[in-house]
Amino acid sequence: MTKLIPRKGKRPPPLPAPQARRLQVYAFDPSAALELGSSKFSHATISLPWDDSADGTLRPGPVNDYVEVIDVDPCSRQFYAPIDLEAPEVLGQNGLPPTERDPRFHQQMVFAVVMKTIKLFERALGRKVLWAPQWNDQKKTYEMTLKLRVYPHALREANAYYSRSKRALLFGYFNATQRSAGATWVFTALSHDIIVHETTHAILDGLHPRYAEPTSVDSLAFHEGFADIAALFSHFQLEEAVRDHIARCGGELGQKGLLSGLARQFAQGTSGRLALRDFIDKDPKPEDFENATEAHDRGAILVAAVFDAFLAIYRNRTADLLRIAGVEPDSGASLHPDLVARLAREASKTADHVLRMCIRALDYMPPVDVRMGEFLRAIITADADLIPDDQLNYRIAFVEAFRRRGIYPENVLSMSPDNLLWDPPVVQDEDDPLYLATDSILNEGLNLVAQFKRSEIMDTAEENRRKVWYWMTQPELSFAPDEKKLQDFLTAARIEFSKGESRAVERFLEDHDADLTAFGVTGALHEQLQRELLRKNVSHFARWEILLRTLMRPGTNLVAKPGVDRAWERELGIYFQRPGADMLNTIRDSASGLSVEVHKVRLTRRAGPDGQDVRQLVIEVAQRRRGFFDPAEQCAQDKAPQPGDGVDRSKSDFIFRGGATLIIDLRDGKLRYVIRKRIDDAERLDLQRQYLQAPGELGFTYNRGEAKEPFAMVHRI
Amino acid sequence: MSDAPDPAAAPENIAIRMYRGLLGDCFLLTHRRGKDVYRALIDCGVLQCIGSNKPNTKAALDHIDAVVADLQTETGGHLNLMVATHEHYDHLAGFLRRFDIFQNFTIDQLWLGWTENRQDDEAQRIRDNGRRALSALAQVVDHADKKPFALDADKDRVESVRQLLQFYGEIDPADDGGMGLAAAPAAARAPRVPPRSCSDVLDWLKSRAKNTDYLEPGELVSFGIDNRLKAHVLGPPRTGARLLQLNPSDGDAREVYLVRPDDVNAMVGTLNSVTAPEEDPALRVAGRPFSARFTRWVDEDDTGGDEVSALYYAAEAQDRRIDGEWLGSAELLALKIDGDVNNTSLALAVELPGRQTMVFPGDAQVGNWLSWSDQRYPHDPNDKDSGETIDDLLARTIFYKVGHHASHNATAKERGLELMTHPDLVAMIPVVAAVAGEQQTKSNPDGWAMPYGDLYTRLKAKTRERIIRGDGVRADEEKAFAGSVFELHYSGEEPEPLWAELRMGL
Repeated sequence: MTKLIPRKGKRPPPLPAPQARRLQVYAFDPSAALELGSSKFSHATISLPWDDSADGTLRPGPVNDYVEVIDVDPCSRQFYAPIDLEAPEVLGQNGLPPTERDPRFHQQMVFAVVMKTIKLFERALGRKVLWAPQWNDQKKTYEMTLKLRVYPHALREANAYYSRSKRALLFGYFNATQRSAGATWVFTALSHDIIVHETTHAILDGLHPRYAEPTSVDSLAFHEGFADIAALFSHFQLEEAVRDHIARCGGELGQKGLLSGLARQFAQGTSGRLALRDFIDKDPKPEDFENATEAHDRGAILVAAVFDAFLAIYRNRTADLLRIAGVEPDSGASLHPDLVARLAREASKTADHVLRMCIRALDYMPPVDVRMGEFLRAIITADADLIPDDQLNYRIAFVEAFRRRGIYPENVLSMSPDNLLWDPPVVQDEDDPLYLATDSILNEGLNLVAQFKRSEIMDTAEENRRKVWYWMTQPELSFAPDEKKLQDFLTAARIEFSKGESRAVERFLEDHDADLTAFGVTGALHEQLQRELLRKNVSHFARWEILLRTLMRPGTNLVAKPGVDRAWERELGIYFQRPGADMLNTIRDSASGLSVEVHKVRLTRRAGPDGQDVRQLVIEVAQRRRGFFDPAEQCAQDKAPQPGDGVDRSKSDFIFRGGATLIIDLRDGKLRYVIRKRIDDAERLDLQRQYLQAPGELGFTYNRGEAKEPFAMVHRI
Repeated sequence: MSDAPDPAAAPENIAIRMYRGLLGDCFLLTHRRGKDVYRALIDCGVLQCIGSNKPNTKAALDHIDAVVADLQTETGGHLNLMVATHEHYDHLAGFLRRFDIFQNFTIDQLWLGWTENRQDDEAQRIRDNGRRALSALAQVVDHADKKPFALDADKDRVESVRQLLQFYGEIDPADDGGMGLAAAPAAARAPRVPPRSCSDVLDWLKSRAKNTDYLEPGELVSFGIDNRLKAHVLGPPRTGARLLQLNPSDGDAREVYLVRPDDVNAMVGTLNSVTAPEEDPALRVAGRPFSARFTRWVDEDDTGGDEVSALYYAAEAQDRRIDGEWLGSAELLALKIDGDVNNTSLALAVELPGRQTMVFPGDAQVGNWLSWSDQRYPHDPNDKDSGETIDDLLARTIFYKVGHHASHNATAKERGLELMTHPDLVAMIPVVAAVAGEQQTKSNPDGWAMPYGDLYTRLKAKTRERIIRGDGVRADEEKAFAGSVFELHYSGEEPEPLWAELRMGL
């Protein structure tokens, strides 16, 4: 019988944790409020998880593992006191009550809305949000960004933007003397829509860092359009805002006007995108998209299309409610308050669904050079994967809406949901020699265990990325006496090198000393290998390349198998080996062939409404090529270098990228989809060439070249 | 009165002389009839040389001396008409550099855009705004020179503001206390002599000319010998709706909107706050968004136990600081002011007795061009449909002075160049590509794209290669103009003549 040991100094039983941390925010856009003269502010309450271990400890600021809110105001030379969200006064009243006069409320609001947006994306994506990495020029590697910086009072201007170089959100404030309310300060940090919009830029940048590079007019348009979609539908999810809007309409509670008025108000408030007013909730015309050549217009049409889909779905969902109430749709009759409340709730729910569909689509998009039509295909495919049985016809609503606005994907047979799915890999038969097998990477070495702490998540993601990178770039080597020994050696190398620590590499070299000898890496070569690998400030990838080069040296016992798995090259749209000596010399060489980059390897786990559990591995692969404005020069550079041909191979006019997103189903290890952009696509190269040479609207004469802060200029209100 | 030249009448011709070797405008229009001569000078300027590594720019700057000397010889110190299109250095520098020569000139008539009229309220508002903005920007550059910014991106921004400010000459400190409360007095100031800034030049010209006209779009002014030449005034646009966008959510951002007073106030406010001396408590409180009880500053070396400021000042997070981020709006303001001054250029279409037109748009940017369709020519308030449209005028254009040295955004496409369909069209571009290429910044490592590639190609196509450039090749130009209605003359036999002139009998 076990003795029960009495506890000394018995501690009281722990209190049950609260369900949520509630924080009050403004639901209304303060600048729009000034227009109406009556500054009646509508409040909302955001519920965040009380103590999500992944969020980290909450410090004053507020600062947690995702964001650090630093309230420094360089223009006023101030550091406003940070808010401590754990203070009893704050906890006791659901956060500070909304006020413009206390900077601590501004910090609270910004924090609450940023965290809410992050959680929204995480729920939809099925994994934790990671921020965009930063290129460290000295170490020649990408460094992960743990926390996003948020500056609630960064600038004195009517502007708010996401800064890529600082990985920060900057919110401005300004003095509006022209408005009817007189000379008051207007803070963009108090606009729910603007905060969601900017946070979305940051999250999208973390998911697809290459989307911020201007390769076509759709690059910026997609970023802006998507950020607006997130902001618009987040706005609709604030039931208080929807109800408040209805109350404001007074007697005019016609069903059609209910939601469109809110959308128009949204467009008014976020005045950086004036184009939105021209398209949202206006009759769609298919020529709109074709004729729209400016990024703002194209982004606005995308938002309008998604909004149309939302309205269609909402009508579907509420049709039965109206039938029960005996109301004819669009009859303009005024509605019973209870019915209005139900409709408001349906609107919020539909907004949530639509936004999640859009967010899930982000994993089904190519890694570079995004086009609007691809977004539609991604939405349909992502939704079909999660919810095979589309009873309420959500997907058809989307297809119809995009079609009516003229947004067509390329190379599809017709605009029906089935035809819009991405193509699975061509060869599905496992026994076919051209079948793309993913077991070798899945079964060996990838860490697929779900992590909870953010730093661990980041580390695991980075290690996995590196492992896949090594796996993709390793040459086909053969060690006649013992193939398995070689494969094990390489697998172990991948695992140890991906850690990026010299100690791990050292250990690896010790453990596999015998193997190296067997492969023929002895004596001076062995010493040189050791020396180079353990040098300081060598990036992980450089180390991998050093190892490969050593193994492939003519003196070793390893033989490089001729040929390369062309099937993979075809599917991914990139090249591991140059297809011909006189081709594609604009792609850089690497130790094992051509330079290839693996952007990310992420594990996702999505839950559907009927208990569907989808587990996938998303891998993004890319390659770059030097691009030239003059097609003749492009040709010359693509040819093999001859001594004395006078071609300067160190320069380029622009960077052209290709690559693919792979979606691997972890339940059966099969490759489900490959969404690619071919690196040898001459037409796409030419389109990018033309786009880059056309002057933009931002003073091309004065500001040509890669804009370091692509979002700053766009958002000036 | 018949428009066809009467063979029995005195021989009449028109000549347009472009002074070469300048990245700047200097055009002399000469109208002769029999023994009478009428001379009009349209601008006289060249780009400033800021920075020591610009040999071509420096050479061009010195070249203006020769230009002014020639003007003196040619005109004998007398101008029938002076047209100053807008207040930029590369259109007025001649007066600043060689005031000693110009000060003895007699000028019968001066034409300026209505935006230069100090008696006009709207014009005054626009001027004041612009002046305050420029003064604030000059202070920004000053401040940055005294206390340089740490981050490279911020340094680049200061440089680009400095580059843009070089178009104005010396800038006056704002005389209104800086907080944008009272507008500057409307009375004309006594011109500062010798002039040190572009606005000084205009003031002096107003005082020197016997008669000054402020031209409105749609106006028709006759000039030349026996008033046989007609000038249609195309811009700057007058309608308030075109110029002053008070509410950002109004209208289309692509139209001609000048800098808002709000933006200028914001810049001035920020500047005051940032440049205030450390110990001045009064200045620290004024213009703050939050009350004094929130005032708190933590120095970099003294964060103590303060976590948040320690995060901000952390050594590994230096590149995430935002100390100089507000310079972005300074840069944008400078760009916008530059665009505004260009957009308020006086744009003219000179109609010859044979009804052909010659277009001199100053540096009007695309927004200004678009406004040319707002009115008919001449504008008759009683009869909206009388007169011609801009399309009619452009269809008869045989001479085009290419705006803004053929940069990409000062020649409208469909509503501009594409409407110039006359087969005899010729063009003159006051540009020296080598000088434009020297204006390099970090964000613009190749300098300015003048003449802009696509535009230049189109111009060549439209004019059948009949283009005279400030840095043109003489032999090529002579060949191209062999069959033109214009006769091409140069100042002498040298390969780089001082001027090129197109003459046509009327």
